[in-house]
Amino acid sequence: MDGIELPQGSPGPRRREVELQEWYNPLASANLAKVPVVGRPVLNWAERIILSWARRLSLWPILFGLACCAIEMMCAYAGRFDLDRFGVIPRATPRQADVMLVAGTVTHKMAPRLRLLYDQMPEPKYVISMGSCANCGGPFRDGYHVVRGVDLIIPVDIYVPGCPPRPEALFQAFAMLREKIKKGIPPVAPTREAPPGEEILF
Amino acid sequence: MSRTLTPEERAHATEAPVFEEMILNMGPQHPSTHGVLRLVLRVSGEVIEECKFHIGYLHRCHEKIAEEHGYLGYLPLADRLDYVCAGPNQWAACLAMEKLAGIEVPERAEYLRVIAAELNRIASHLLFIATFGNDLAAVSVFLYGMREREMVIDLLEALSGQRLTYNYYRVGGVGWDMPEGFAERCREVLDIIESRLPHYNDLFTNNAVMRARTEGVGVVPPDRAIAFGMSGPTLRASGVPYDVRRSDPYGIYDRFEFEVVVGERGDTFDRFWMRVREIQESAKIIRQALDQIPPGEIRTKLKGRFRPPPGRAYGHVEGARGDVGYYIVSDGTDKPYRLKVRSPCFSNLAGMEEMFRGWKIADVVAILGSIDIVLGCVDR
Amino acid sequence: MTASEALDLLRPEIEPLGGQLAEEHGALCITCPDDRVPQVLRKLRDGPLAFDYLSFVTAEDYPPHTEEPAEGEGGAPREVPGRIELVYHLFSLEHRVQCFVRTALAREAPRIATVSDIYPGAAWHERETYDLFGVVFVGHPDLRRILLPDYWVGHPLRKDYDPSQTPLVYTPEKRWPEVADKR
Repeated sequence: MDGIELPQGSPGPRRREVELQEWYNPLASANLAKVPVVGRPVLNWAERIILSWARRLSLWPILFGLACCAIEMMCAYAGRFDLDRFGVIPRATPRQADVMLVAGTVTHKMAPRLRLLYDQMPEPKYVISMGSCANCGGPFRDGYHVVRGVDLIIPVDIYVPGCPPRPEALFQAFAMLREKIKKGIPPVAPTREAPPGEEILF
Repeated sequence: MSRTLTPEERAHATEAPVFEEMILNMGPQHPSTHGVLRLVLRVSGEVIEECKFHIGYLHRCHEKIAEEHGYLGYLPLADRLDYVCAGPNQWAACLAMEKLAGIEVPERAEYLRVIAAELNRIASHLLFIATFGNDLAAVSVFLYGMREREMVIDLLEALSGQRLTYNYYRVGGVGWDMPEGFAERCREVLDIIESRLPHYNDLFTNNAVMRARTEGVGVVPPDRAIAFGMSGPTLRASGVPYDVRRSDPYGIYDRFEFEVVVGERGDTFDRFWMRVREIQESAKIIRQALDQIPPGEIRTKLKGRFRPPPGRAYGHVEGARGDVGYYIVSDGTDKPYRLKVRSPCFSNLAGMEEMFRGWKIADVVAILGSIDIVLGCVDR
Repeated sequence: MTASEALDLLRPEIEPLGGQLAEEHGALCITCPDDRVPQVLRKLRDGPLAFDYLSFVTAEDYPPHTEEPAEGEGGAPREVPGRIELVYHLFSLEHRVQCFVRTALAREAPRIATVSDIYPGAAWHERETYDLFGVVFVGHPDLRRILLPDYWVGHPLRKDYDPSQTPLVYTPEKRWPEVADKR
């Protein structure tokens, strides 16, 4: 993982060894061979570069603020720390979003709804876990109603430590996510597997 | 082949149109519910017949965690209760603990507490204006409000090092002293904010669309507001002058001259306008505090571990959303036996459940935005 | 008005109902038997001091325990039965007096009449007390869990709450994906 340094703070964020999952990365040439002939997208290197450029420079998060980190997320969208200049526009509906920015504590009552929202997002989708409550349960870890980290529910790509993290930390998260997309690293594997005999293309 | 209407069809045609009832879910994820609040609306056409709130999506077990972690371990979590206006929550917790243990707070610390709380109130009301405008689709108000709020947050960051959840209050005082140049910068910021409030009037308050959407909408009668235990600007907009700073003074609030802003009609516009006026009143209080603040200690040192004698105490303060209180039962150890949080947004929301009947779906957003709830406070 | 003046004003009204008045940290504190609570609250609301504002309703859990005899007293350690104490906090907006009303309930099946007909705001507070302590409010229009989901088993703020009773889906033991738990 040259060039990308995942945050090493405690508690919560751990180094994840992400392997290039060849069957999933649609831009890898090895996968294109598995696509059936009819309707196979023929991507040359220029088109692959353009796809990766388009994906990383217009990441649209779903408006999903749960708790205190949501206020810092709103500050990041506002005028002083502006996320719009990075192409990051919040969308209200999961159907139009690329990245889910989980900002705040996840409780057991909220967990199924969060899973539902994640499942409604079209792929490729990424998840940024913002704040220590979403990373690992945070200061409320001992609560009976708190899920100890959103990665128990959905796969997470980037963890942002802090309570709440500064908007600049959120910028770093988006910058790291863009680096990840640029390198062609796919999002952390989704929970569903390809049905037998079929491939998941996009 | 055409035909004439049968008598039944003719009679049916002259009746009022029949609406179909529909149950609409404004789910926990919604751009306008200010957090994870779920409303289940039974609508008939566009008009709301019944509304039920489902809360608890952010129930973070404050009370149980306090019983496990002890007084001082819980105190930083008190900020996360009403996270937009974090100072007064901690102040209420510290008040209750100081009452239990009989600890006196030095004078400079009292002034610093007031300054931090009022700055917090200004920041919270600015966020309210920003999100209220955003809910009513005046997105530029969001950017303006957050711009002013950033200046206040910078001041609070100079005081405490944090932008949102400050952890500034301690049992027996405050955590850190004012840095150099804080008083001048604070006065500058207050001047700037007060000079920019007329811009909000031009942009938003005197906007015909905004007025039409908020005047007369969601009127809360004062007796109903009192019966439900509402507090804060939501209650004062209905004409009830209940402000904890005046009714049950704590700290040194009796040394400051400020007005308790009271509304007339109790509609959405009054609830909005109250908060704009309260920014001006808070600025007055901060200026007086900065003039009067004496030098001295900022914290009474605790002897050994904090173990208050057995007993019960209730400390409440005026937060930005209302009367936030902590009821603590102590059994002599360093962990509270029972810590109960009296949250203003819980009672405010309870009273609003029937206020939506008869209004349209678009009004729900305006009314819900105007009561200014924070779900961390509702669900604890 | 101070708490002691309020105490004297209310004494002739509350004491016939079995209530005991005291002063605690500047607030009035009334202890009364559990079947008298609605009457006491009605007297407080309609009485001379007009306690029209109900701040909160909550409970405290005191599980059964053995108490050692005090120094200088003989005798065996006695068993103190468990109880749940309900606390109602009232405020008078006009006279600016706080008042706590306390009552003790049996711990096994705590039941008490609701006060949501006297103070409508008590409805949600009573739902929360039911949710977290298991106190059943007889006559409540809509007594169900408010903060916790409906499938929750147990009442968390009791001292003998067992978190493992509720079947939870998202726990570190059943994590997604299968990664060794290094916590």
